[in-house]
Amino acid sequence: MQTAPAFSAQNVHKAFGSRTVLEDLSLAVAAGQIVGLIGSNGAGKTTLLKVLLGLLPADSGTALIAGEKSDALSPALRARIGYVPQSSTQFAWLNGRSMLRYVAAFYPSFDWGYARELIERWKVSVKTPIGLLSPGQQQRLSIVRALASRPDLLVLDEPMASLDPSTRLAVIEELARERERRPISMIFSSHITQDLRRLCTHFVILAKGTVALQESVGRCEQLTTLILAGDEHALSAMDQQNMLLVRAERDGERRVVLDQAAALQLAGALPPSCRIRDRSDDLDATLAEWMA
Amino acid sequence: MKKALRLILTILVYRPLITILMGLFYVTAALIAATAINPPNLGEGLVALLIIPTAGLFALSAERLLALRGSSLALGLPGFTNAQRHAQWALVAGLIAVPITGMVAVGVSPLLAATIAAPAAIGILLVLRGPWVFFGVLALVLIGNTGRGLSDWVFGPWGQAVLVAFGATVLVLWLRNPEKPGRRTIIQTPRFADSRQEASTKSLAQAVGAPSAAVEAYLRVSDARLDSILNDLRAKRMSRRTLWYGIGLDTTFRSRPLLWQMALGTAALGIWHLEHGQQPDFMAYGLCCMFAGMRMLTGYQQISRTLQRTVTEQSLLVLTPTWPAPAQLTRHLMNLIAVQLGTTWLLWSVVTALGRIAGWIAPRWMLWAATGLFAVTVSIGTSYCVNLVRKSASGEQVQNAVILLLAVSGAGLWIFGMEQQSPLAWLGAALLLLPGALAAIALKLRPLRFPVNASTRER
Repeated sequence: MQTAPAFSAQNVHKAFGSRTVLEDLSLAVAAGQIVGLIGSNGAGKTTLLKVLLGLLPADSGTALIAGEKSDALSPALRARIGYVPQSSTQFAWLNGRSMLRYVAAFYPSFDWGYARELIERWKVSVKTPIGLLSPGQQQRLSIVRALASRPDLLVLDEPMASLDPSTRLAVIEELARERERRPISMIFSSHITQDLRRLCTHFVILAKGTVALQESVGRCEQLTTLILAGDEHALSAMDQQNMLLVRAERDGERRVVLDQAAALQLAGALPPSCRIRDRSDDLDATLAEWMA
Repeated sequence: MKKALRLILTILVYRPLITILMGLFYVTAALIAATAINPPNLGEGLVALLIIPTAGLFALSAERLLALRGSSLALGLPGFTNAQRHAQWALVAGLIAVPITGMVAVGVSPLLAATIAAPAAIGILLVLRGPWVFFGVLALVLIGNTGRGLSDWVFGPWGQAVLVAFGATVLVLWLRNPEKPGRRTIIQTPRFADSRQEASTKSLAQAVGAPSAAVEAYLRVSDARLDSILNDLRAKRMSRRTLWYGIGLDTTFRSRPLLWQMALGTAALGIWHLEHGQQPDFMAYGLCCMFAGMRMLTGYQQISRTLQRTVTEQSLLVLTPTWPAPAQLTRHLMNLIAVQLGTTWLLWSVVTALGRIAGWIAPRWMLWAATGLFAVTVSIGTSYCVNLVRKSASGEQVQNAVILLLAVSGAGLWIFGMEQQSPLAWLGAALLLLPGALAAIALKLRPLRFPVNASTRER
């Protein structure tokens, strides 16, 4: 029997007034996949995550979690979801302990032992009102809240933005441990690709409101960026042969991202009027190029 | 004292534009004094000019200090009470003593100069005791109707003496205020916490030198409340307070303020009729009804703003497995709104009944007032329905104003039509009922969106 994807979106369209944020977006995150969601600011990452979770209604299209429609999730499925929102200031008028007690009351499976362990290990302050905590402390508390209900469907929206490097590493290690202990599906939105490479099995790149790339991390690491210069007609002809995975024109140059074998083939087939001005096998540079 | 100055700075930067605009009045007054010494009405002119900034700056300061006091109690910040007391003294010195000294120096009578204590007192009362100020205005209207002009009374020596005494009394009470932090404020603070307060707590902590030492006291109170809420949850009871605790929405019905408002409304009617005789007179009753309408609108704003600023918290709650279904949540919200609107109707009914028994209210005014209040109820109900079922909250203010205008116009047309036996009454009734009916249908078809208006933060 085929398992339903952990998260999926089909032809989702979402606009705020005249500004289209998601355009005919389709995505499927298989059960057990840890997806790193990458995109430039305003690419629609948070909107996509909210639509997937049913927190924001799509204008058209369908969003599903484990086969259930996101806007009508059953209580059993909601118990399996953990969510770390982008805004770390949550329940600012309560202190950490009161907030966890209140939220835990809604989760039959809330694991207090695990919550205490994380609070101790990450040195989270639970006595001070949340509004007075530093953004980093607030973020840690938010992650503790999400993990302590022992979810197997995790959505983390830029959870590392306010964390110092050592806490970032500790959180990544904890998530990796959880993944080893039990099957978890996760969407992890971040701008810090190093973190994503440590944890994720796949990358999804959002650009211009749609999925520009969804590939395994291994495949992405084999990608090469070439900056081509020269005769525009010849470059366009190569485009028509569909040899190039991603194209962007800037300052008379053509930037392409393609796998290493295709890069070699392209180098051999390049007409004399064209040349490779620069080449990079660095994944971070390639991802940045993709999002540009 | 350094902490007090930092506190004043925190207060003044709170709404910088308003502070600057009102500060300009002080500058203008100083310029007038410098260029026009000893004209016949210089003193009266200066006092009149200083009323707005003095009342406004004290209203700002009182509101801000009240919020900061709530935060300081919630956070158990040490040293806040002293800093607040010093800040209050500094405000009185800077905003009253300095202008008075300046005015006396240019030859204005000391009693007249001291009259600016009264606007300061009104500014403070406006924040601390809004309804009292409302009835104070009512009293001034009453005085203005005694045959002499209001300014004659205010600038006469007796009027000045009364105003100075009144201002001084309120100022003294205000200056003693920090010594009496109420337990009730501690309990209320988490409920009324909002983004503005969150922002203020940080600056407050900086101003008075956090970290906290007395935070345990707050935690004990907070934990006791949470314990009872969690007991509800364990018993599978989704009470109003259980649901709304997570978004800091106050759901407690308080009978004492309601009883006070009933007493004040009736007393205002009584005072008016003592002055104007026992014949029915619409002015005082109309103002009381207007107050009831304002009470409804204020309640709407409190609930609506809380729902709109806690989208993140709502998102987390709606994803929890035992959070109630949207239809059940809608029922609970409607229940909360019904209590809020119902208490105002109760207030109006009691004041109207007592006024009617005393013979101060003509029967047809009751119908007018009930229609007006019904128009406000319908427009608020419609605004809730329309705003809470929509995907986006854009243009909410305009939309609310249009709804209110439609309902009030409908009420006006209906009353006019009924009085004139004209078919316009039917048009009025349609205008009054149509938006509400459409909103009810919308709510029936689409339950409350929770998280509410999530898209507002996307913009």
